[in-house]
Amino acid sequence: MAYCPKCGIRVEGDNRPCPLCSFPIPKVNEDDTEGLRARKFPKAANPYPDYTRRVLNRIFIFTTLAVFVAVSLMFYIDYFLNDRFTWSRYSNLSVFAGWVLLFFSFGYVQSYYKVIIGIGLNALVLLFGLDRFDGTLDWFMPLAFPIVTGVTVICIGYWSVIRALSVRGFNVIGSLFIALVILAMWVNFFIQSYQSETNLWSWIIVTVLQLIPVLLIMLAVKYVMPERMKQKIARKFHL
Amino acid sequence: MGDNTWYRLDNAGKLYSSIISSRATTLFRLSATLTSPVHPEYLQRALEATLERFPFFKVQLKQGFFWHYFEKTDRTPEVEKEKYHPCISLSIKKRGSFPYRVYYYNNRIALELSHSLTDGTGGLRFLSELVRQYLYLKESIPVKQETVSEEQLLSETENAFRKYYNKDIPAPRTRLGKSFKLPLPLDEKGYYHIVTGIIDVRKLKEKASAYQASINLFLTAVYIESLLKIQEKVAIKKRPIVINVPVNMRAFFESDTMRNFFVSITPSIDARLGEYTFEEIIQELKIEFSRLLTPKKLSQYIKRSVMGEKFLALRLMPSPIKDIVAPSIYSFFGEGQYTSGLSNLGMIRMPEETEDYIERVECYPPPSIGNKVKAMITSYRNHMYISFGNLSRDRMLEREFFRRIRSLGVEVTIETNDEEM
Repeated sequence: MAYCPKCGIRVEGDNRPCPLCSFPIPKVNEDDTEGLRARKFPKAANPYPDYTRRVLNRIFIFTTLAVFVAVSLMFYIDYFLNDRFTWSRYSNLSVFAGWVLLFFSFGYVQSYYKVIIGIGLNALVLLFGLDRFDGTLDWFMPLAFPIVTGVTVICIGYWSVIRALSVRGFNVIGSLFIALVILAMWVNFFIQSYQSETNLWSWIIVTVLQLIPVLLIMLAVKYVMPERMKQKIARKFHL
Repeated sequence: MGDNTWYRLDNAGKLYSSIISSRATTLFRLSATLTSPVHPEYLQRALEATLERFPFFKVQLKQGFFWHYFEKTDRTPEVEKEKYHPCISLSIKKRGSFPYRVYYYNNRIALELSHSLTDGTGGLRFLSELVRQYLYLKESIPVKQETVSEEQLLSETENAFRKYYNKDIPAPRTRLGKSFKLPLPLDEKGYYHIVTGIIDVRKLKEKASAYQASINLFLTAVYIESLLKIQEKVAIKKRPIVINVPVNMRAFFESDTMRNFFVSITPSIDARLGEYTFEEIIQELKIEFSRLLTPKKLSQYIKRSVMGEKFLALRLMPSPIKDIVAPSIYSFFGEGQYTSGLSNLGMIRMPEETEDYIERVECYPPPSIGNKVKAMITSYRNHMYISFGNLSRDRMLEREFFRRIRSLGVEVTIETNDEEM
């Protein structure tokens, strides 16, 4: 029998942390009793991750079947009424894109990079199709392509930064703000250039004006906000 | 139960059956550790024999239109080798599942029961019969195989709440308000951390009698004092410490029932009034306990317990909707108002012929999200087993409590179920 020097309580096994305060309890027993001591509890299994996976798989398979039936039905009705595929191309491509989104959100792809790229490609294919089905490409090249590509790249950049951070905490929120501002700039730029209204100078000024409040907020959070408030926010947002 | 193939839940059972979730399983554990390793085949046969004696345990929980109910089944539950964390990972609402399970591990027989089926006292009777039947098979101890009469079965399945319900008396008025909550983060699903402190009962009795208090009252005082100390350290705004203490009503109202028959009293210490010494806490608790623990006062609590169930809007609500709203209502009006729970099953007496073969009897509280840490106490022979069940990894309350017991000069041995320990 060994004692925790801090808690004063007695434990059966020595040479391990105290079960109450994690203070290392020194080795006191001369002979090695570890192997002889019968375990009081089994090495417990946790059935919940498997259970959740099974439920998700069931939902995904059911949805896939429903999507397959819906897509076939829409193609059939469209062809039956118009003797060719007209509106069904739009609806079916959208349904299919939704299904791909579901595939990525159900955790079948482990790496977040692949998920982000996959969702980006999915959006590109969807938008390309919607623009192309009427025979011409109007807004895909000037608007959809750069915006979707930009969002994907910013998301990848954000995720890389988060992963590389040694101290997460508020840096996660800070980087999120930066990412959002860059995103807003990017989207704004392409929308304005599509409307042929881009004045580079005004655009830069607006961008800087957007950045300043964000910077001020971040500085305030870092240096002005009391520690207690920071801890509360960290607790609320699980940072 | 007679020839009926189903029976109603009592009012506590109705509530518990509606709040069941993967975390709040409502399962509590009663276990007996024997002097030799458990033989699974004998245990299975013992379980079958025990179910012959208590046929109303051979049931499955079913969902009715308005309430859940227990339906008799011809299937027999199977004993299993313990593989999960205690009191967790059993979905009793699943088809074919029983509202309890019997585990064995090395020398231990563990019975985990849903609170919708019975309370600690009912569970202990089942466990002691199971152990008796097991030892009869394994060690050939003399067991008189008794036949149960219809009347006995009826009295064991009676709804004692209804029996002692008096609709003309007023329900107790206790507005608790907001109480102190321990700032504990939940651990992942499927984990339940148990810390058991083993204490010499005689030593504790000595200490308690120095304060002219019963052991139960003394431990409640230590529990509250530990919570006050934690509040001092972690909370900015002070709040009352409210403890949920279940009271076995069979001690006050005659009943043989094996279903739920308990009410909860809620002794509290208001930390906003200033610092409390240990003597003051004991003094307050003495007054509170002696004020509440009388048949007259407790019948008011029965009234409150049954009143909810009789509420027309609730009765008309379909049970799936009850399942959705019950957890929030329970956490708002029930557990949300307490800081923690401390339940004492008292001195456990096992059948005399089995005592030599039983080393210890322990119990673990059911996991709950509203009160992430709860404690349950049993005493067997000369030892007291105080088990904390915790849905969080943080052991601030356990640490504070056992350090305090230690500082009173009582030796404590700690055991946990964590594999890394």
